[in-house]
Amino acid sequence: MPLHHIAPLATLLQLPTFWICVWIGLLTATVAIIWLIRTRLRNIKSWQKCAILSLWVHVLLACLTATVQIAVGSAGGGPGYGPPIQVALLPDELEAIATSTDATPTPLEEFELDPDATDVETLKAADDTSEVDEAEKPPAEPFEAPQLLAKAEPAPEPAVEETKAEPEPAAPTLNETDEQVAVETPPPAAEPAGAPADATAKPLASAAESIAPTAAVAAAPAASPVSLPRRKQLPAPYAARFAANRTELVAAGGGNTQTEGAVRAALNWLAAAQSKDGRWDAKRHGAGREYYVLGQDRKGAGAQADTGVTGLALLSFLGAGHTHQEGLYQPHVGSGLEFLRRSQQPDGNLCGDAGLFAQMYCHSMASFAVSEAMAMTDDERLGPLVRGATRYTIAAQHPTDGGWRYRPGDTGDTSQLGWQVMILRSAERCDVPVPPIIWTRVDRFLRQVERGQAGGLAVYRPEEARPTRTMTAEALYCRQLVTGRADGALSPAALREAIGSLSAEPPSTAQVNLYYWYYATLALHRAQHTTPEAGEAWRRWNDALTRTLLATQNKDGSWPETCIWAGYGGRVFTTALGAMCLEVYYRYVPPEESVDASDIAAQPDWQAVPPR
Amino acid sequence: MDARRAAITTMAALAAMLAAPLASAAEEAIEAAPVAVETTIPTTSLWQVLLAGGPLVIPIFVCSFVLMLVVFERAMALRRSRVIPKLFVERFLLQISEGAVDRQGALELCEENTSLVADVFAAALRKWGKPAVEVEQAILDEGERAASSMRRYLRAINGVSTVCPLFGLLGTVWGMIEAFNEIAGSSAMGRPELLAGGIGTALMSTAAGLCVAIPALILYLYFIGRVDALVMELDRRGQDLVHLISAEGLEDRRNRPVRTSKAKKAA
Repeated sequence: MPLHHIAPLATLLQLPTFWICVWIGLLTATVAIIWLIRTRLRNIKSWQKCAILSLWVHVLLACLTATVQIAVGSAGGGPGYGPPIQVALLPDELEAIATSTDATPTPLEEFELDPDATDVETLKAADDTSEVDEAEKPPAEPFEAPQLLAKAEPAPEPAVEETKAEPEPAAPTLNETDEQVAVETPPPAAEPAGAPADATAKPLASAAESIAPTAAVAAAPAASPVSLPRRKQLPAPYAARFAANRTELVAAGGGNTQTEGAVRAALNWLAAAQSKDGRWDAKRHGAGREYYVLGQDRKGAGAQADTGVTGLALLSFLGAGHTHQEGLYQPHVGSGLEFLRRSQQPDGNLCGDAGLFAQMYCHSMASFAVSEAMAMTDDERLGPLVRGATRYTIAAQHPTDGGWRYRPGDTGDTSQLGWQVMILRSAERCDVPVPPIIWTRVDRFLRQVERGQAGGLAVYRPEEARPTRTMTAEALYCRQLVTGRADGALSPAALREAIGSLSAEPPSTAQVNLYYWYYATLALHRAQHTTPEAGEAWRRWNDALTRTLLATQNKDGSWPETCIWAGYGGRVFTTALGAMCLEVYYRYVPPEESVDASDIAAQPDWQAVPPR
Repeated sequence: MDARRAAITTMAALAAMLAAPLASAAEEAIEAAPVAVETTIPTTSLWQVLLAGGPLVIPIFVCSFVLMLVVFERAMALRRSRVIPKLFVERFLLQISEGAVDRQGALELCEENTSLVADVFAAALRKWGKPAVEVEQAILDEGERAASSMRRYLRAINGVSTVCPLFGLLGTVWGMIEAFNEIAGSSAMGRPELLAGGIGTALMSTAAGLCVAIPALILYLYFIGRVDALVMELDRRGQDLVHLISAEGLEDRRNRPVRTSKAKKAA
């Protein structure tokens, strides 16, 4: 029977053409066997005949079972089963879905999108804007960018504005470092910039009492004469890294020339430790040794964590204002970023060859580094890398639990959460949209790990009972990032509990725990202006931190591998974390300090509170 | 010899044919997998589900093969033409009743025929002219032998119907143990779908066992009933022969030749 005759028959029986052919063949064979048994094989033993028949019946049955298609439920295993889809609509999230715009893709949609297509689109968009840039005045662009981003998250903006001392409108003008801008005030930004024209004067005048307003304006362009105009937009949190008066900021924040010297030595050591292909080789610097930390066998995690320690090293360079476009370490940062770009997998994962216990950490540390580099330089070449990594992070979140763990979709732990939240916040500064529902889930996770009498402490996983200081510090910093407020939107009692817990174990040479110090330093630094107690806690913490870090630093600039997690991360890990701890004075500018004396720091943090 | 070679080649061809569609079915399943994911309802073939049932599906397959083997053998052995060929019995009884064959001729006729009833008749013919009780006893003895040869291998069918569900249950218990171990080993607590999936595949082997056991039991009952019916008919035909060849029967025929014409009419 020719094939074109079989096709209609196939549609009639709802079977593929292949199976029709098989069945026709089987029926022919059946007839042939019966004929053979009746004629030629008539005289063979009856047992042999029976065996042939029995075998044939089973062939027919097997083909029948293979033909019959049955719908399957969620009974896992076997090919043809799709991945289980978990759907949860919780009251919290309904609100978030309602407020999110249609344009914002859900994580799933975004995951399915063709990365090339999106890249082309965004690149086009970038081209368009750059053309507009050239046609009009260059200053128009920075006005536009913060404004658009502010619009993307409409509702909570005014509320934030009230709490801060006029931070929002001041952003564009200060970003310019150009006197003309203030004078000209281009039309597209006329409305929001109308008020700010006055407002810019206010913080400058009020804050810098010693400096005359004119001097302040004059100082602004001098602050970073080469780099700033080239940059289309520098998100406010990174501004102080490039500040000309960084030494003053360090001194005001609690550091000194010794801490700066330590940072410089550490960066020098890191630059020398880089491999030729751009990576920081984790194993070469002592990573992946099994220490059974907290009594768990992690199978030598960290030995292959090259992307993770590379990310950390890059972060410590970026934290001091050294990017691949400026600063002393341009080749190092550039080749490190290039290594990460090479290591990215098609789904956006940046874990490289890392094992189970290290891979998500590696992905998050590396993604954090690339998104921060892109946010600082606005280098569109990093765009696909950052978007892919963010997409992977978003897709890896547990849909109901709200956390992250070693594999995508696992129920989360607080330790992973911190890194992922840092990625998402810096990805937002690269104009990579993060659906509001992600923040809602993060918020839910943070509430699950709350412990203590006032809810200020935190545990590692939601089912645990005993809070730890490391997790308390991490959860506090996450809350500060999620809410955009220095007190993390905690009640005063909870904040006091958290800060009290952290200051009960200040840094000391007795037990070096750089992972804990990193988060606690960031959290306490950010919270220092909320209450007098917090300020006092920060001062004491800072004293202990600088004393301990300076005392333990090696002569070559690295930090020794005596830290609790150093067995897994190696010396690059300890050195990068140590450097980042000492960069805290200028690494991020908290929004509350936007009215501070520093010139660029007067920019507001445009990041908005997600709808809750 | 030639027939045996032909049988062997046929078996080889059959094995090849068995392998071919299954291999293609596996390929089909692999090819169909992405398609199935794309469509709204994921489907899989019954074959794949069956294979997912676990290692205990293999003995169930073997049982099924043995079952079909015995069933075909019995279906052939218990054909009427093999046990009580109607034509032979009627002609034979008619010839005896008419006196067309004597003892020796009748024995030769019986030896030519391969059916079971011919064996019984032959046993009776050896007691030609003896008292009815003696002839009956010979028929009963040979009938007993014939009945047991008809019941041969039926125990295998009964065994399959008993053992297959047990294999299936063992497979289920095995699968459940694995499912629970998986749950206990991983951090899957509070994810009932994992347990449900494991139990679902585990129950597949019980289903396979029952699918073999139920037809086996039905066939066993059918064959038992058929053997009983054949034994009764054998007995009846034997009684007819007793009437013809026993001492009493021969006497009756001599005294009342009317019966022979009656018998002739009936034939």
